[in-house]
Amino acid sequence: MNEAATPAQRLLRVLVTVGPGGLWLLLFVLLPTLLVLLASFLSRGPYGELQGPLTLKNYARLLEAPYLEAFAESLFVGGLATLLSALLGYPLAFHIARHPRRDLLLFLLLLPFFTNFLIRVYAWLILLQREGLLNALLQAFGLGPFAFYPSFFAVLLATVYTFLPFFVLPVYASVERIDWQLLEAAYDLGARPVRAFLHAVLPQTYPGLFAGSVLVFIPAMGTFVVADLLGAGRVVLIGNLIQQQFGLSRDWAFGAALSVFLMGFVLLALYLYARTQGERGLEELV
Amino acid sequence: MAGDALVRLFGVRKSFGGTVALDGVDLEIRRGEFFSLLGPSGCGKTTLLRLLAGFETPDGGRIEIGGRDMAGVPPYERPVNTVFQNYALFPHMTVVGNIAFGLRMKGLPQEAIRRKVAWALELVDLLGLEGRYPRELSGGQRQRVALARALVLEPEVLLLDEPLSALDLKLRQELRVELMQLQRRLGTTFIFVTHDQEEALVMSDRIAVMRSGRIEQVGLPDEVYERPRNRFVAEFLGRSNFLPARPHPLGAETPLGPLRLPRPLERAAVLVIRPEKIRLYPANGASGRENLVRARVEEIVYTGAENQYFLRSGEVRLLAYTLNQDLQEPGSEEFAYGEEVLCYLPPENLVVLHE
Repeated sequence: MNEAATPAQRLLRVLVTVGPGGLWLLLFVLLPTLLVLLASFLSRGPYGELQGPLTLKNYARLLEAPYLEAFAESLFVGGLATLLSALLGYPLAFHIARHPRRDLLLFLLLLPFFTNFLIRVYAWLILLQREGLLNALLQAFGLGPFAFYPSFFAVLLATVYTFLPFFVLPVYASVERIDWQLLEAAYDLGARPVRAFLHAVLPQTYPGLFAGSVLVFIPAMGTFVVADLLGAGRVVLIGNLIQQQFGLSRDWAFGAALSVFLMGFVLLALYLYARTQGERGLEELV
Repeated sequence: MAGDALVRLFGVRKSFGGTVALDGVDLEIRRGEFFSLLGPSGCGKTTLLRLLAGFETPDGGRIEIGGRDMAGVPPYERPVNTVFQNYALFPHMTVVGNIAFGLRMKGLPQEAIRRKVAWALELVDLLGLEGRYPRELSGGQRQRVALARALVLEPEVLLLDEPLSALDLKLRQELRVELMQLQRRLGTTFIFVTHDQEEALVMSDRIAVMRSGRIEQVGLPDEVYERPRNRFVAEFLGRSNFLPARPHPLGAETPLGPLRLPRPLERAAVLVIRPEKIRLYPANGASGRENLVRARVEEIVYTGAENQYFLRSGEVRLLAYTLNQDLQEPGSEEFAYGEEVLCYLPPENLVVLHE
């Protein structure tokens, strides 16, 4: 590798090393994205096909009330699910990382993934329905029955349930790397336990907190299966809208515009985060 | 230097699982002194420091600082601060952020914090680096931040856990002097943990030599070095020659023959003499004196400042150092391999150990 390479040799090297990954990205990421982008500027033909000319009317339609409402509701569900995942997952990650049998606990955390996602969502449906296990239990104490299903509550519960491990795992990775001597240093310098934690431990888990939040917020915002099954039409998220456009309504052009809008929003949010955190924010994310 | 007792330990014990880290330690450290805890790794010196800081609680015994029992007093309420071995600086805070941390925890007003931080920055010569993050600092600079961060709180006792061990030799030697000057200037009591005997001898007002959770000897550096109380101390601090000895009218009967001692032995003992106390003369030189032993040079190690002679007299091996001074000075001659020399063992430098 030390002797001077001819331009042809250098090109070959680049192709061999970067080529396969580049090709993969091109075929399965860039090309589909461009297709969706293109579709979002076309319109729906009489039989549901895409047709020209290029237009912005799909994007104009995004501003209509039902779509904005769905988007707002998606933000709300995504945000609330992220917050709840953080409240549950952050202590859980610490508990696992400091537990002598953490291998077992990690296995248990990942155990649900061995079962199909749809089946697990249906399981929640069965548990939460009017004649379900939860109501039966509550009635034994003289309470209820409650209409847990279908409801916003059911959607939120199942969303948090589904994505919680994606929050716990990155935080766990951060917790494992914590330099606990910094906690001692904080105590030594006069910090009481709560402040010592906030100043010496919490900042060390920021990368995990951020990665976990992204991994919960983005899919929770875009998911449609949970809202479909447990909301039974009462909860309409942007993911449901997109699915409707591509399925029932056969308006691919508008569905594409919704997708581009969602993608643009997520990218903008990540970009703004990286800006506020400086370069380190992005490095730590990777 | 010697003030009243500031730190007192009474029969302090600590075990981890089945391992005894401290096995009944009694100790008094005086206000304003530079006190070193010296010993090999695993001797309990760091555990002792952590007990003083409050990171561990003793299994038995009592610790007093400034006359106050420290039982149940958490680290954040103790009048001590620590300089950690790898500094434990907060990586997400700048130099100023690190130094101001303790002051902020105390809830001092902004103006006081600014003034004290400026004072600390100047104290450890960190002006101009205020806005740097720890990862942007050299090892020596990090060490200074750790010092400033602790000293700015004006602790009664500063605990230092091998703060120089991560640095290279040259820097270590410079920082030794700086630490000593700092300690004298502030008059703060320093408790300094080290496994480096030279560091302890150079820097300390007093030294405690530790082994297996016990204190073997406490004293001034020259006391501990010149008058080791037992074989461990003699071997751990510098190098020594050991001679088994029995009572003799002159002083002691040894494998080198009878040697004069200031006071004759009453029972069997071991005599210790430091290599630099043995004076070497040419074989044809001074004769007819007591405590003169004939030996042959087996090996010479040249270290720059001194020559180390590995000698043999009959079955006994001796180690002797001579300074590389002006060759006209008596006792500083140079000798060659295989040459026969006369070793003079001054009676006052023969330390008697009863084991």
